[in-house]
Amino acid sequence: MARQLDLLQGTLDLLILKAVSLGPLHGYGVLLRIQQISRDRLEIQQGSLYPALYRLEHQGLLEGAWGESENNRRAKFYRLSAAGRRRLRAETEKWNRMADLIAGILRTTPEEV
Amino acid sequence: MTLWSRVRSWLGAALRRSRLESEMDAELRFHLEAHAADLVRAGLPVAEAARRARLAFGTVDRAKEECRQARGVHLLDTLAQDLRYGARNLRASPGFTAVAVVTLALGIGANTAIFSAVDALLLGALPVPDSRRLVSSWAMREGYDPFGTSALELGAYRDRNDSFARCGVARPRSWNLLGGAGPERVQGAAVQADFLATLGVHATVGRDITAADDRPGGPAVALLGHGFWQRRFAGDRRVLGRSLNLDGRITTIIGVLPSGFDYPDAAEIWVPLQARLDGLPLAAAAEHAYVLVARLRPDVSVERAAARSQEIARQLERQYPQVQRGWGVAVVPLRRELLADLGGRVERSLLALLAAVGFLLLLCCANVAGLLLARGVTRGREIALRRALGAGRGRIVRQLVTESLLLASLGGMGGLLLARGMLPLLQSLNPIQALAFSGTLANLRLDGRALAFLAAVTGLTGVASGLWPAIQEAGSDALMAVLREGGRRAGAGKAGRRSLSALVVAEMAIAVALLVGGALTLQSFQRLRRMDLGFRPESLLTMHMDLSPAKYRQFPRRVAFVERVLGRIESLPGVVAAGATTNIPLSSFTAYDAVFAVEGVPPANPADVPITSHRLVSPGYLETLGVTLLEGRLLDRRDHADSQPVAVIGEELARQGWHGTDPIGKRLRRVRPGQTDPWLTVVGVVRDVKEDRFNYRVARPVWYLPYAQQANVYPIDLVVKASGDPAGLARAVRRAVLAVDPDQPVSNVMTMNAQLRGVLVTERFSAILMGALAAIGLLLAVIGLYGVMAYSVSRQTGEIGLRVALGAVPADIFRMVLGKGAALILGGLLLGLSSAAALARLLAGTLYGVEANDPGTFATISVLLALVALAACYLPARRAMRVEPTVALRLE
Repeated sequence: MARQLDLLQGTLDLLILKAVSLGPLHGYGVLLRIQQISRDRLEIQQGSLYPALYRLEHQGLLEGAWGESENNRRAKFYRLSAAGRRRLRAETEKWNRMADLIAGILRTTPEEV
Repeated sequence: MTLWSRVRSWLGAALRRSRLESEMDAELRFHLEAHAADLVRAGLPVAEAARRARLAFGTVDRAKEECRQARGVHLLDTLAQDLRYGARNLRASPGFTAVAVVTLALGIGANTAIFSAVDALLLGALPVPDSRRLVSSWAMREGYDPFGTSALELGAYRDRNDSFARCGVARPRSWNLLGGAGPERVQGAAVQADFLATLGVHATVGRDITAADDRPGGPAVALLGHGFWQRRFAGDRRVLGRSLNLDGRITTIIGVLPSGFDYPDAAEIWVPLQARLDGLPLAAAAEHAYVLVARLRPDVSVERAAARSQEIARQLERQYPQVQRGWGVAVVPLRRELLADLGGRVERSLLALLAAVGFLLLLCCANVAGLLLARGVTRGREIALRRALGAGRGRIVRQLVTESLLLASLGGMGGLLLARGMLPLLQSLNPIQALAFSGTLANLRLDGRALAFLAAVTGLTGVASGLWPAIQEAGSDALMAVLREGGRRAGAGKAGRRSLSALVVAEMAIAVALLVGGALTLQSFQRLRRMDLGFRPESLLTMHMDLSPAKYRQFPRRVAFVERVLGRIESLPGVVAAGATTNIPLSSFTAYDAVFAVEGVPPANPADVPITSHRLVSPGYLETLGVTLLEGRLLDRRDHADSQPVAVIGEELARQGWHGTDPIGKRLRRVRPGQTDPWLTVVGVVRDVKEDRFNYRVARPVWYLPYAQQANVYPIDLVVKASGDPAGLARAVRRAVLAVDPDQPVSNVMTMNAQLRGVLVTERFSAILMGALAAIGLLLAVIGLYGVMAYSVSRQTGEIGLRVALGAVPADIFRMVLGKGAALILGGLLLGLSSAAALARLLAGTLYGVEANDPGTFATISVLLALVALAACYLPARRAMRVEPTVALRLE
């Protein structure tokens, strides 16, 4: 089993938006999806998942609606709103720029200074 | 937003919240169950799977709280939390809660009850449309003597006062109603068609009085009052077209006026005036006989209309000096006239009462604030702890204010009960003897307005008593110091003590104002009650008779009737004496006043001579009344129709007519425009009798003329002196009158003392209430002072112990505590004298025989209050003196 990484501060929202962008999910589904696409290398504090979902919903980035789960139980499904989609794009871009920048800095060798 | 939509939105929010809450539960439960199901599929036993799922999730409640926060915190949620917390706190200290709630209930209840009274009298709607725009106009002699309006004046105001949209007059009348069960005296009025139209009152059954009815020689028709219709005809709508026998005139009923309407003067029947008022001879046109009401134009103020009328009155003075000199005019809101309050005295005393009860509420707030502060000091540790755990200052203030609002709400409920209990008492004090609209004016009740007032006062009280202590408590900066000290001394800091001292000063200041107000009002009332009436009201029975003009057309028949009635009454067992007059002293019926001229003095313009109280009386009337003869003789049987015309005069008239020389044997006469009255010889001088109900504060000339010598058609009042209880004679006296004339009704049968009580009702009302408020205020202030002093001594136990240990003797400690108390009291007194002066200014116009800034009252109250307050400090000071240093220091 690969070593799990602690989630970087502030990235949970981004991950949730990404997970939900792939298709509507209920809260537990979001958890599973993130674990699945990270191949279990990220550990999500389950307790902090829901406050994040509520926050995103409150901000209008997610839309929640009650529906039937895969095993025919009532569950609340989240989907990305138009605003959420814009936010995801902006955050992804920001993240990539930041990652490139940090990676570039970290790659720097003494000769290059 | 209406109340209902507010409630709905609040309910909606509450419902939404509970729905969100249950959705959140369902969502989290689903998560845990789904996770557990996956674990079961992976091969774990069910119980273990559920446990693992819970473990992985972490604390559910914390997640929920974070979810709620993420969703946005609701004010209502924290409110509910604060309320729960507050209620728990109040339950935890029942003694404190009880004292605070009772104090607030007292303040809120008293305010609500007095507000209801003031509201009914000064603000409540009258049963006529848009009553605020109705004014009543009075001819004023020398600025203070109100008279009815004359036809001359009516014409001028109607044509020239552009502030009046419409106006009309009525002439109060009464009739002997014959037929039915015995003769009945009914009150009513002869009205212009415009009179009722101006008031905006229309017949609910039948038709109004029209211009066609209201012309000389018009039909004999009448409108009935609702009450009269119910009483006499059981509300039968077929009453239209039936007839009434009014003083022998058969009158057809054409309609019924709405319930509650009885203007002017408790009228029950209205007939058309049917008089041509324009183009009368000057003497008749100048007769002040009419009640004038006007409706103001929408954009005009009462002041503007009054100023305009005043101008017109001055024009009339120049135009007709022989009848109008000295006559001004007063235009007042209709309500003032109804309260017989042309001068605004009733209004001022009610406002003063409202101010006083407001002061009382402040005192209650201060006392509760003191309690909260003292409690805050002991709660300092709890609050410091909550702040240390991250509660913001605003959050704590909000919580503490919620707590005091909770207290105030409990107080408000108590206040509601108290007000409900007090209202019947206020009602029984009967603050106003309203002649008309008494159904509205004398009906004190807790209506929607009073409840709204109560709610507002409750809210204000909660904030007023709680906000300051809350800020004090939450603001304690020495957080760590508080926590470190840890003990009960916490928070007894300078700031807290200074707040308590400020409260004591404020309480003393308010108490001074209340006591001065109460003392002034009570003194004034006492002086009024002990005012020399000039006669002896004990064991007198009085009653009123209107003789039918048809039956007693010839004056000698009237004289004979009066003589026979008095003869019969005097022969009744239990009767000492009986007399008749045209007006008993201080009666609320119109007095027939006249001006006089003295022989040998060039005749002055009638308008320049003072108005007198002029009474036509039977032989024996003055003895029956119990006047004091100063000189000469009273009137007796020698003074009959054919003997020399005479008069008995009062001291004031003697002074004004003869300036200190002996008036006996001198002559005077009545002065009436267009008429020469015979000379009357003065045969006696009596001590002045208070005759005029509405201006009893004025020294007015009085004179008594033999009834038989002055042909007149005035109604007659009888006065009967009983050997025992005068009220017991009523039936026998009535029978004696009926024995002489079976068609003669007798009305207003009451004892003279009851009659007199009616004169001072408003004064009595405000004296009793101001006195009660002052007493309660004193009690509250003393309790507050005692509480604060006792508290500060208990807080200073350690310091006192230290001082004693260092060599202070008990006397030093005693002086220290008492000195501190005295300083606070002195500060309060000084501040209080200015607030008392403000309240006294409001009372100024209402007082009799005592000045509003009476130095004696101010000084006495200050000394009295200082002594009582010092006594309140005495006990705590003695306790401080007995502090044992060892015990005190061990407490530290």
